Formats: sequence, structure tokens, C-alpha cells
Amino acid sequence: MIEKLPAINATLNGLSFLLLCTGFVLIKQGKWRAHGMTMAVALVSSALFLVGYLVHKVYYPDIRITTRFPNLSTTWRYFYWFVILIPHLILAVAMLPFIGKGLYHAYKREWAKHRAVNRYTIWIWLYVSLTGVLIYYLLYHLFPRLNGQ
Amino acid sequence: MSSAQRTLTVALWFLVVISLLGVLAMQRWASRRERGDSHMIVLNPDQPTTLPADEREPLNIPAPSFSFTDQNGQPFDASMLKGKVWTFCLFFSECQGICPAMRQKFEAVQSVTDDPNVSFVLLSVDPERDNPAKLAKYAAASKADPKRSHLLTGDLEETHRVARAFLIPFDLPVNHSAKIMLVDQGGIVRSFYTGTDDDEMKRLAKDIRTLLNESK
Repeated sequence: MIEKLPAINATLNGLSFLLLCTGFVLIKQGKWRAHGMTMAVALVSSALFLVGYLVHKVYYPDIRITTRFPNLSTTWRYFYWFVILIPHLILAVAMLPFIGKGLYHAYKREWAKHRAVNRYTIWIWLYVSLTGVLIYYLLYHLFPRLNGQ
Repeated sequence: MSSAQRTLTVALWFLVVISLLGVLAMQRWASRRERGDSHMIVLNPDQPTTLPADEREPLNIPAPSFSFTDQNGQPFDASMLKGKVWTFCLFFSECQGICPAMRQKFEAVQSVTDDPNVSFVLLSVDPERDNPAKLAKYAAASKADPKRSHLLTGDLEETHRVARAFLIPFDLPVNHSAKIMLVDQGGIVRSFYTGTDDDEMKRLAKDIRTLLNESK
């Protein structure tokens, strides 16, 4: 089960990404009710991802790519760290309070404030969920291939 | 769109594009490497097996059938490996020589793929002392995936016969080979690797991957 978690987590992330795109289009079309429901499902999917991610971390606390993929070239390693992983991690943590704030304003029916916050949050959230899938692909599919040389 | 929002979206799009380009480059790199020359004998039904570049003996022998007991005390039969890519090597749990040296490198190779169609068979050359309980202890201390590792023990005569059939005979337990044999899905021994040599173990990892792709 734990071995399947990364794939499940990545699927949840991909699902969030698609739902966020849908929700974005829906609100642009003025379909606010459908938007609300889509975003709620996206939030649940992202939250489930976060739970799955943390559970996996408990079981595999040390996942340094230097030990997992010793043959990976330094170029790829630094590219992964500084271009993909670190921006993803920083934004993933930073977006949490903003998602909460956006949700709170939606709950309070404060639409102007809801828009003001979420016109930033949506891009970060989209970015984080997309790169989440990318990171899964790298760690579980591409890096093992690059390392297997 | 406010300027702050524009900056944010442009920065994020930029990162996404750079990341995707990087991943594409890595993919190309990976497939170029995998196409690169392997020492493994690639079986071609239309042509006789050819000698690889380093004049290694061509191995095209069938893996012998055998039946031993595994670390869980269960009978383990060669037929259980049908359709899998598997490695075969000799060891014994009290080995102070090549086994510990091999073990670390071999475990690194085993973690290269998590494909369930790969198995690692380790046959004890010291069946008198290596009972299943002892093998279980040895397996538990290892970093290798317990589901794909089969530590076997059994009759000494049978052990000699199987080791000879794999072309790695031994006389005394302490005097066993460090060779790891690679067997394909059809039960053919395709190549062999020195378990204490880093380059050879990298080659093993690569060849396991090639065999897995061959069946796809």
C-alpha cells in the first residue's frame, strides 16, 4: 500500500490541476455555483494529497536523491533541486494560508476580497499541483532510468 | 491585470517552461544512454549469438531447474521464476570475504527498479549452517526488498549441481564465486557480472532494465 502512495498522490495532484483549470474557466464564464463545487472538490483532492504525502514521509523520512540515485549527474541533480523542487516546496508551503484566506472570504460571501486574494493564489496552486506531478514522474520514472546506466 | 499579478504569472510560466524543457532534455538523455552499447548478449532468433566486444564468453545457457527452501521456510522452485527477470548468485550468511563486499553494491542495484517482475535469488553454499531461520535473519538485516529476494538453502549435492549448471562451481563455502548471473524471462542466462566491481554492477542494473523493456 505504502509503495503505491506516490502514484496515488501524483494522481490526486493531477486531478487538482485539472479541477483548478475547470474552476478557473467556470468563474470566467460567470458560472459561480459550478465554480464553487469544482473548487471544493479540488481542495479536497489537494488536501488528500497532502495527507498522503505526509504519511509517505513518515514511512520514508530519508529520500535524499544523492543516496537513491548515486549515478545521477550533478547537472540534473542541481536542475531538479533549484529549478523544480525548491520553488515547488516554497510555494506549496506559502500558498496554504492564502488558500485558507480565499476559502474564508468565499464562506463569508465577501466576493471582492475572495477575488483579490485568489487572483494570485490560483496561479501558485496551479503551478504547485503541476510541478507535483512532474516531481513524481522524475523521482519514480525518469531518475531510476537515468541512474540505471 | 495588476503589475504584481503579471510578475507572478510570468515568473511561474517561466519556471514551468524551463522545468518542462529540462525534463524533456533528461528524457532524451536517458533514452540515448539506454540505447548505448550494452555488453549483454542480445538474442536474435535469426542470427547465431555473437561475441560481445570484450570477448566475453557468450552465455546462452538455460538456467537449471532446482528446488530449495527459502528464508520463510517455504519450498521454492525454479518454475516460480518463470516470466521474470532474475539474478542468481552464491553466498552464505557467515561469509567474511566477498559476500559483505558484494552485498552493499548488489543492494544498490536491487533498488534501481521496483518492478515486481524482477527477482533476486541467493543460494547458500553453506546449507548445513544456513537454515531458513538464519536466512530470514540475514534477509531482515538487508536493505533489499524482501518480496523480491529469495534466499535459498537445501541439499548440498543439489547446491553443487545448480552452481555447476550456472558455471560457478565451488568447493568449500569460503571459496565461492562473486559472479552474479542474469536470467531472462525465458529462463536463459544472458550475462554475468562480478559482484564486487562497481562498473559491472552498473552494467547489471542497466541490463536488468534492458531485459524488462525487451518483454514490453
